[in-house]
Amino acid sequence: MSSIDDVLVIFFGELSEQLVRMNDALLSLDADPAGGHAQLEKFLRDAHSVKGTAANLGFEEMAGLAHWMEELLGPAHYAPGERPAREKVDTLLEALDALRGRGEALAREGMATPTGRQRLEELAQRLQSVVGTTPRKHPSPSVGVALAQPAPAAVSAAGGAESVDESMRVSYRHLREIERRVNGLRQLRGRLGGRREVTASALKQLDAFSQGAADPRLRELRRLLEGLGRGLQEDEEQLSSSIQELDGDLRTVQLAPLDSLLEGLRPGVLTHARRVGKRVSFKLAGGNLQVDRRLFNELKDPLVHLFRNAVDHGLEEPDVRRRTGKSESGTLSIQAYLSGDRIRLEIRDDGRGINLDAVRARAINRGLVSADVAAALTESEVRALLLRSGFSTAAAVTETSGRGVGLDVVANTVRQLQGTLEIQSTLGVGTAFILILPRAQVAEQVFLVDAAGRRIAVRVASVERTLRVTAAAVKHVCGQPLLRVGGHEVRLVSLAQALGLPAWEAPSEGFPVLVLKGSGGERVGVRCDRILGVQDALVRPVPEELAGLEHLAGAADLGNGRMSFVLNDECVLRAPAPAAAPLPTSDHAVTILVVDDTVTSRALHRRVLETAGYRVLTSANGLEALRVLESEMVQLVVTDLEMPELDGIEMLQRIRASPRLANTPAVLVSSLPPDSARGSLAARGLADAYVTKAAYDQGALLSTVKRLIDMKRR
Amino acid sequence: MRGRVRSEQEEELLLRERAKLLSGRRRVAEAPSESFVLFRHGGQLFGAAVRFVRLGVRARELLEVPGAPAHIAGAVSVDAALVTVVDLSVLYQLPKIGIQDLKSVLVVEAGGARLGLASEHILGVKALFRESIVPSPVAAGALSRSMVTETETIQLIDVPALLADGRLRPSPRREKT
Repeated sequence: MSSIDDVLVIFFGELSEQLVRMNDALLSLDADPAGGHAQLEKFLRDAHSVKGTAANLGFEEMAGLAHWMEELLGPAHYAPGERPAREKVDTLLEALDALRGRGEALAREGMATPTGRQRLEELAQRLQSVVGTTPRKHPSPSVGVALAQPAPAAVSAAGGAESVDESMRVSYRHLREIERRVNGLRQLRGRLGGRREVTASALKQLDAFSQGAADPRLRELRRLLEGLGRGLQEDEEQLSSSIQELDGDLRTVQLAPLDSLLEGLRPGVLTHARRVGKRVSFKLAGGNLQVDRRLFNELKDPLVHLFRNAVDHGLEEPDVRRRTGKSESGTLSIQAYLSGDRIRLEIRDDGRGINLDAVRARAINRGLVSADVAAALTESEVRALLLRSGFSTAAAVTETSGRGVGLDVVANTVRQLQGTLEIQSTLGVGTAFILILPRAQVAEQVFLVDAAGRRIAVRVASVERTLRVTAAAVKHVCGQPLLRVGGHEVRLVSLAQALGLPAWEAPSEGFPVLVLKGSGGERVGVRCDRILGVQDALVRPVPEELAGLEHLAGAADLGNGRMSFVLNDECVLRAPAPAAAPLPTSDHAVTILVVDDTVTSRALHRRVLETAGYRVLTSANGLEALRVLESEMVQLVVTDLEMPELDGIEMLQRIRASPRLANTPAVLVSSLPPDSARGSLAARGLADAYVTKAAYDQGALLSTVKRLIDMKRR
Repeated sequence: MRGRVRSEQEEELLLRERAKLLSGRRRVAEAPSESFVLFRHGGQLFGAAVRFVRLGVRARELLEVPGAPAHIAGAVSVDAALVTVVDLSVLYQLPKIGIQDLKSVLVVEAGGARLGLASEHILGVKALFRESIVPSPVAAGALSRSMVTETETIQLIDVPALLADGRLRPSPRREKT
């Protein structure tokens, strides 16, 4: 049996959905009573379910109100097919709103909170008087009893049975626990990988020890070690596959398309509009943006507040709109999109706009600013006054035709989410509230590309098209490379440069370009080294220490433990054209291949050598290095000795055996001393220089590299 | 062995000496200690108090951060969030001997903030007597304390001070107005 916390989580979640359904059903019944049998059944079924569950959990006031709602539209007091009285509908809508508020208060403040209780009791009495009977008593079982079984599936007017909902609810606590366990599996995979490497190392040592001896016991030992290595690799691969599937399942649970979340708020907005005598159409764009449900839960209250404000104070009454040439029905539109590493939610209405003079006057009247200060405020500063605590009251709204209660609460919530709130408005045209929020995590498709040896993700939503371009297609105007794309000339930038990495002139035979398009229609072509493909990724914010790196919009979890940083396309789109400095040409650059199985050694060598002006390629082992050498012109190799797959000695032996590569200079950088068995073997005729890691010196490495390259050139 | 007869004065002196010795031994036996996770990096031995250590992860999955300052070695994924990894040798400009094969990352946590510490080799947990901990000769930022053993010095990391280091706080990003 679940803990009481889990039961309550499930109850409040289901309550929210039930109330939305009841609201929809009631509005549909009111609009079309003759065709509303199915809607009536839905309403009654949900009311019955709310009553039962609330009673079981001891929420008597909720159970009582749900009971009278059920009675009001039940067979004793309502004949299906007839239009329900307006007073009935309005009271029921108010009751739904009150239940929603009570549920939210209980979830937020705990079961002992009195918030909303009195309103429910008053409404229950009102409904009772409409129904005209004495309310029945409900028992109060102790908390912790299992949920009552839901009402049996109702039989619709058509005579069929409706199917039972097969979904279930999971608390965030459980989801976080599952995430932790998946991470535990990743660590296990890491340990398996380590053990596989130890087995491979043991195999190598056995080979070195046996030196091809025909001892059957050594052969058997070798066979056992090979089998163990293969088994560990298979287990690792299977575990990786399971982790990837679990990641995908977690993502599906944690994230939801924004429109499915916003749609839950729509009935409340329409109901509220109806109550205040206004007509509104609700439009949503960008609703397929997948967002973390937790972020949305934080935003729900501010959004409801903004919607109600738009209806109350933004949109005009139908006759006023008609007189001013607008359609009788106002439009409330919500647009959601990603901008760099932020989510932008724009809530716009086509109403009366904000009267800035009236807002100034009100602010002076309430003592928030002096007359002199008010006169000097810019338009955006005047609009920002609306967000100040103490500004918004009902009276203020009437007098100023401005905004209503609680915008300061909205602003505070957005601030707590580390976001910002902007207001835009044109008198007579409309108003927009723009929420800019850091995204918790968002699932999206990304292009994976290579730039200067680094793997970077670029959001597919930002890419208008991809091209393969030759150097001849690029023209230079005042030193700025330009590309003709679809009738437009766009700037061409190097992705490596945008990331603050060393960049080289593009190869003449061709290179890939991603054409990025911004929300304002601006375009820029981004040159990379390779486009690796498109894949789904979960994009998370960068940690705070990296937040100052403007070129990074987040970190993409590619699944299977791999991650990649995401390019902040806005940073590239709005960056000024770089100074016209010629890039080093790849034709004349010295290319050095760094081979090392440890991330930091590769990164360190690369940093040292790139700073010195060399073009650097990297590989994690000898096998990878040989593949790179097949396709790239490399002037020098810097390599580690001990590596998995193919170590430094074997790699150098193969290089020396190749007619094309035999004279490539090589520097060995190893933790083994040069007079060790393997060290001396490597140094003897295979390497041109040997550096021990313990005595590593950047200057000495660079001078060694320069000396060897100069010797090769002569 | 037969001792000579002591005077009252001598006896009192002797008793005082014994009392002093016994009380000293109790102080040593009761000296509080603190457990530290010891790790080696850049030829230095470091210690981080166990209560601040979240976990150790393999560095194989270290993600390089393009354009990051030199003291940032990369980032790793921990509990579905990215954690920045710093190189203490670079951050505090410690003399670095040779280059290291970064094998693991020690993730430390305090006050809701997390950071990864690049480490060549995590040695394990050791209890250190508080009275052996002295101000560090390095005296750089979060490396304010150390302990000198027979063979080398352990630089003890003040994890909350490290997490509060201004160099790890970003400069404000440009926001649209």
